[in-house]
Amino acid sequence: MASPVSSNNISTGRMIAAATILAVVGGGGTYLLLRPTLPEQVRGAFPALPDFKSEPTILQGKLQQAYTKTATSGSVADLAAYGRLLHANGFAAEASQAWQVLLSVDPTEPRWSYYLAHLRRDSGDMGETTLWLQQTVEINPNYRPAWLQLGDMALKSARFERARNYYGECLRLLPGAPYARIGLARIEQQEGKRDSAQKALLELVEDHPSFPSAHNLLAQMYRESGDQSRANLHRWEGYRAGRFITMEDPWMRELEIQCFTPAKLFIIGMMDFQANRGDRGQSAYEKAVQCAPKDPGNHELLGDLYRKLKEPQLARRSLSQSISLSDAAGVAPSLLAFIHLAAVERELGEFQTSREVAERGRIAHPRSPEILVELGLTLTALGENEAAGVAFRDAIELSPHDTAAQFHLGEWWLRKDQTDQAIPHFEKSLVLQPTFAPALRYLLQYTLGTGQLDSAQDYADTLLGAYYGDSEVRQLVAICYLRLGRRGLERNAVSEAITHFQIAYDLDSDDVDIAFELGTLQLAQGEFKAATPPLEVLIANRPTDASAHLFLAQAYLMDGRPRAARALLEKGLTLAEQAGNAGTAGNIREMLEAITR
Amino acid sequence: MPQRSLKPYLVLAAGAVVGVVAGIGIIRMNAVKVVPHSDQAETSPAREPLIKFSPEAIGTSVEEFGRPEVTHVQIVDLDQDGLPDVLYCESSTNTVRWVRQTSRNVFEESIVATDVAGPVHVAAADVYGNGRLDLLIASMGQVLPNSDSIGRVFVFEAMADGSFKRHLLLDRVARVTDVRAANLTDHSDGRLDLIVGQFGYDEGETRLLVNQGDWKFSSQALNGQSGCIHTPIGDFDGDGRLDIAALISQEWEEVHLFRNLGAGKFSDEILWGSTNEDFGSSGMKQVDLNQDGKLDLIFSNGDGFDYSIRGPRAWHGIQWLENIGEGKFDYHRIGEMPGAYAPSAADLDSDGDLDLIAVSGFGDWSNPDTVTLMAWINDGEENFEPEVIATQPIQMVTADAGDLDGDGIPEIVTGGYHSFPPFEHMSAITLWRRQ
Repeated sequence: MASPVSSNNISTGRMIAAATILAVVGGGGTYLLLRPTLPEQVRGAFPALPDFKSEPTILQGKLQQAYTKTATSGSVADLAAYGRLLHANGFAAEASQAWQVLLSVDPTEPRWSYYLAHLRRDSGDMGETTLWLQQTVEINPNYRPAWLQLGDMALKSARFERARNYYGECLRLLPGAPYARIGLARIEQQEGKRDSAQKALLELVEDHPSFPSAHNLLAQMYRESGDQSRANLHRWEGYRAGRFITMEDPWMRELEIQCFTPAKLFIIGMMDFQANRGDRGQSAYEKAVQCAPKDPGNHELLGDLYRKLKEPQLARRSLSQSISLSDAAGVAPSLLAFIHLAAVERELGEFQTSREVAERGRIAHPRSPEILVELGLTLTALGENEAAGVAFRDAIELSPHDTAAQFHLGEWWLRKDQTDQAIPHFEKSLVLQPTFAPALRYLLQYTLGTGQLDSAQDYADTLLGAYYGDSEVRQLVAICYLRLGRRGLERNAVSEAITHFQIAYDLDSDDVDIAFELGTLQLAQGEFKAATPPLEVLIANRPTDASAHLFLAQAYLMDGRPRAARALLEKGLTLAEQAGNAGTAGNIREMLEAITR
Repeated sequence: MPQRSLKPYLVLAAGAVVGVVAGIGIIRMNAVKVVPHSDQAETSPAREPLIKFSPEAIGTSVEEFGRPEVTHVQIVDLDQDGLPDVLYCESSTNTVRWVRQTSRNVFEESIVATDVAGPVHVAAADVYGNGRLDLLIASMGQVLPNSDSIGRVFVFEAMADGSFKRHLLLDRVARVTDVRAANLTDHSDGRLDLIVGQFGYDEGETRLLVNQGDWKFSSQALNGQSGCIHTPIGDFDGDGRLDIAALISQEWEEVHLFRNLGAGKFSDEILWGSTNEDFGSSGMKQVDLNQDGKLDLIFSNGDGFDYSIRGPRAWHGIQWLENIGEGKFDYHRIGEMPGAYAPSAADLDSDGDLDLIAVSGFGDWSNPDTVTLMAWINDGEENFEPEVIATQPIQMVTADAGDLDGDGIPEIVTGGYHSFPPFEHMSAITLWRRQ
């Protein structure tokens, strides 16, 4: 007989087992019965509509539609679309909420954490940005922009080894990726390994000659090491390559497509334009106007962009529209709309219309020197020179340091052959814009023409510093240094002369006069190796000049190249005899005899 | 009839209840959670302002300038008569001006430096320890973006007769945005060295000019990155030597610390950086914000000079790099402010802690509610509540705070920079007094 105790124990054990089973079944059943479906999860937490009363109608409609759709369907796709709209149009808090909900219900999609990283980056929270980016690459280790940003952030927090690893991941995904390589070069630079940083950058610009950041960093390093010439070269190349741009980021582009906020579209468009992507810039601007077609400011900005893109007809249409819309709204059209439209009409040869626009602008903005300058230019085009002069003077009266007004009044004096009156205005035009090219060019030519070589050198240096790669500027500055060299020779300052001729030659090595002066002077100083390149230029440009053959032959001879020297002398002798140049022929014969001996 | 026990049923019921509760718990645990976000829109009921300031124009009027371009203001007692004055740079006339407080609240302006192209920063310092404050002036050459070597460093030496003698210390260099003086190389005769911030454009530098005496300086680059805006000086790592911080903008957007290693040597460390190339760093000052004895950095981002589309960005605002010791810093975002410039600290509400201000140079001027002067009031625990001070005048890029009238309450001085439309609600120098 089983003891009561034992029987009781069995009974208790059964009860516990049954209760456990009931608990599990009950719990499971409750969970299955009451658990929210995915749409319910989304609907229960997705962000409310932001305050969009001041937004463009098109954006209001899209937000309302996306919200309603998400509220109805509760689908991930609809919430993602709503989130994109929120994010792209500047509703950061609501967008953040959307991405967090999506991250909870759809944790395998890396975009959600990437977009959260972007929102945190914008507010400068680099710590949280890093965390979201790390989550992004955990979900999708193949998204390069995320690795790059992780690298940049590690670099900027002086965690160089970590940055190296992140850039390494970027390079693994795209061997040779320029952004990762410049990051690595910066680490080397920051660690004081200048040589390897410089080598890496040189390889980078060779592979990616249009990558402005690499040129700029190289220019910086060359300048630090005192190599101003190479620094200038790379600075110029960086300038030509355009504005610094970030790596192409397809996920962010997906957001930009959903942008319907004109202010943001103009910024996106301007950055594209400055980065030499004018077509994308134009699209963004045109979209901005479509989003708020009744805003005169938007048409004005589009008109300005068309001007920059050399589309005067389109610019005219947009700028006219801007003024019309302002008129219709009963507000004064903007100053810039008048200025740009007056200039466009002038470019199109419609001088009378340009004048009417400028006159209207003058009435609407009577304190603006800029509109008076436009009026002056148009009056000049119409041949009304005296009236133009009055307009330029009035502009200067309003703003004595206005660069354009001073310059154009200077030109006005030049047209009247009053150079002495013109020069002070050109000089004043440089007060606020010291590198204003038209004034600098004129003043350089003027000072060269009047023999004021010291002043000319100042203008030349400024001009060259600002427009280093401009071939016309280089030629003009080279002429200045040629003249400075000749002045040095007149003063028997040979060393100074060689320095100036060398600068001129470096700027314009095809100029025969410069090559002659530098080559012959260096030859006379016994610098035969240095004399050789300019003398070779000389002979290439003057193939029938017997003296040139004689000079180069001397350089070759002193350089231990008698065969080459003899060949040149023999040719030179023939040329001298053909030209009846007995003196040169005699000199050449003497040298030939000396070689033979 | 045997009595049946209720116990087994109770146990089974309890099991079922536990199961249901556990099921609901799991559901709740799995429910979507939204982490509170600092960008979350907050709506607070209208309240009385914590502080109010009223404006008063001092110095040359807007009408005289036409379109004032005040690039820098600083409160300093230049003549050391016990009455703080206002120094400022004005780039439409290429001048540096002194609004002297001749007696309490009476101001007279004089021009102390002319023909300084694009002046953007003026500091007063006794460079040779002779008891007179010289003027250190940063000349950009041209304020608007330009990549050319057109920067200069001037010192206007204070002479015994009250005049200033002009010295050109650096010429034809990347555009200069900051010059300030300190004994950085252990001089024992009162000489001060100079730190020069060169924004440039594509090229720039942060440079140390070591004072060799007789206005001769040897020059040493500390950093070759473009975009240097400000270079505050202080002992940031607590080793007793003066270090230099630098706010470096352009494509870098970084804060650097140049630790003074002694014997004229400096290391270069990145303290903080943004990967947002459009961050728009615009100004930085040193201040012990939490008054813990360690010098912190406050900096703003709101620059819009470089864009054809000038205007606010969502991320513009001011931030605090809290010095946690030995040259290590923690980043704190203080608040948003479109077009923010010129962060300054002062006890605006007289509660013993330091509050913050900033001005806006690039706001949405088509919106009349756009804030141009903002304060952030400190609750004593370095939690800051934004307080709008003004929405006009617009387009201000410089500000300073200090007790000009000696009543123990700081005044604010701001400067208007009007190089871009709209040319309305303009100002030159405005003095803001607490009401």
